[in-house]
Amino acid sequence: MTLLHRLASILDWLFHRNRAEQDLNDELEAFVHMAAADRVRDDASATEARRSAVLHLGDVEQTKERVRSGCYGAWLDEVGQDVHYGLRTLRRAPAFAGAALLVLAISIGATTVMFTVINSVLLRPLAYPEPERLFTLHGATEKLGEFWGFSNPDLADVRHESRSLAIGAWAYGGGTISAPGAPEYVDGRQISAELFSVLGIPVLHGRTFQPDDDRPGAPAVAIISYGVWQRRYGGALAAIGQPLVFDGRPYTVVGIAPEGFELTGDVDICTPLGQNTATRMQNREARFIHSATCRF
Amino acid sequence: VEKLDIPQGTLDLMILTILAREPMHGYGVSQRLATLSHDQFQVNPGSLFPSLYRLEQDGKLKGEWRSTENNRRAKYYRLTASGRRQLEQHQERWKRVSFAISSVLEGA
Repeated sequence: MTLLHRLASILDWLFHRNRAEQDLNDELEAFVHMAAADRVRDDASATEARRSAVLHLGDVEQTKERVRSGCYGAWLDEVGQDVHYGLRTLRRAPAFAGAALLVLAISIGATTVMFTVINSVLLRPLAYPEPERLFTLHGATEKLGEFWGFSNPDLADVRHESRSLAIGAWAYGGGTISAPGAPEYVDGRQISAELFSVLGIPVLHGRTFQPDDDRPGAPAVAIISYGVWQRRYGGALAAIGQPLVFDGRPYTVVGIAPEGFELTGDVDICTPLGQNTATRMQNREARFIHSATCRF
Repeated sequence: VEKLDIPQGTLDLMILTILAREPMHGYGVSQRLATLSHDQFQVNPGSLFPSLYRLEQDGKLKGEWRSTENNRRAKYYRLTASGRRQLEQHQERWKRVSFAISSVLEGA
């Protein structure tokens, strides 16, 4: 009840302040009149009575101030005054104000960046099912320390030796899609056949790569992103099986990746890693495979 | 004769007591307080009005503008139900305090 009264009086203060001031003035004026009238009855002259009554009322401004500061809304005024005072002070010392603003801006920015990184790297779970079972393999040698990348022969050995891991892999492989539609440079990935199932996500339409796709000489197939599907095929289901020219080679679209699919960045097209015939595929020192992604 | 200072915390109690009998304006309250205390207490308007406003904001009093017997406008305060409850509580408490103090003084 009391809380409601206080809220009401704060609102009252905000919206009817002038009337409240007027009320207070009238009330104090009435006080003086009544005090003066009593003194006239005590045989003083009218002027004398009023003078005495005003004296009795004392410092009017101080009284008003004490009434006002007792009002629950009054702190709003005080906050307002403090803010005004603060702004005036800042305007008087622009160099100091600028420096203070700069320090604040930089620290807020730095904190935000720190939080964003920590949030996405450490706090937020991976956007895949059962993310706690996912990890990536890194190689290391005594001479050179840890590598972020993985070479294809190393990957083959790990696959051969492993009994309990499903191992997928991908490497960067951007290029130009020149048909259908206008040529466009896109972000691409060369992925192993297992990658989608290791990550635990299905394609939106069509199929993922099969082990048969993932070897040299197999028919060239591609999985395209939701965005490419929309832009170049109008989102038609008939896109599956359609031809696509990527980096001058003809491919057949076999699958559409789910909307928002990424692998450390945007992905517009995926091609089978195993169809890569570059010599570095056989080079144990060429650690171009960005991630050996495992699920146990 | 030198007036007594109004003991801290008792002004609200006395205001509520006076207004419990009949609604009254600020000047009336100050006059009644002087009379009832045999002119021992004289409340300063600088203390009276802040107390009245505070009690009104807390919903213990309700103020309304009315004409006085001399056809002037004045703000009359009356007790609300909540004010009456507060008065009873404070009276009870004050009786215990004053009984305790006089017991100590007489026992000493």
